[in-house]
Amino acid sequence: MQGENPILYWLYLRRAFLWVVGNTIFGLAPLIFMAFVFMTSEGKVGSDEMTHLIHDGVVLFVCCAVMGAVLVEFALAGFVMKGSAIIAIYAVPFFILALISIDYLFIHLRIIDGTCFDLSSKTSKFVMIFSSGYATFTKADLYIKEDMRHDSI
Amino acid sequence: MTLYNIIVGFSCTFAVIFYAVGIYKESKKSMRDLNDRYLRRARERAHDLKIEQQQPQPDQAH
Repeated sequence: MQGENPILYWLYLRRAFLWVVGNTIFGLAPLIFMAFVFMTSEGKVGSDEMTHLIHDGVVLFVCCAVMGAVLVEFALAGFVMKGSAIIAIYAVPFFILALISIDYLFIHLRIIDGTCFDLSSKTSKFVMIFSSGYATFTKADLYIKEDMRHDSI
Repeated sequence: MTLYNIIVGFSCTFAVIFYAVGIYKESKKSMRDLNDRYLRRARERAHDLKIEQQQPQPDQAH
């Protein structure tokens, strides 16, 4: 893709990135709102609520929702793909979902510590970085394919 | 939980590698197809323009 037309690809990537940022802001609206309340009250209100939301896994489940949105859009668009692309686009998000669900189950069964969903934990960091990458690059590819389809009509 | 951590670590590494390879190939193919389409359309437009220029104008025909 770099050799073909790097400037055009960066434009698609930027568009996809903005899509991901917009969706994430809407998904994290309760947490952002509580952070705003926390800051305006100079730390008197909102700290417990934010901690509660983070420990319940709201950030990780928003990451899953963003990945799911891209996945469903790709599936509904009906593009024909082969081998490695199918695994990359369709199978990998289910693995991330399974990873979070197992962690969630283990936390409720008290097999692992509840700090697994903290933003500083390795699982959280991996899921946040991977899901943002997945959503951005896959959405950029979807934009390219859609442009190609609309251009041919 | 050590075994669990090892399994998760390996799985995550494989997932990242699978995804990186798959999306790189797919994006490269998509961009190539898009560029080919743009080039084909540009060639068609240039061809149409050439035909129009070769046709005699009404005042020149007289």
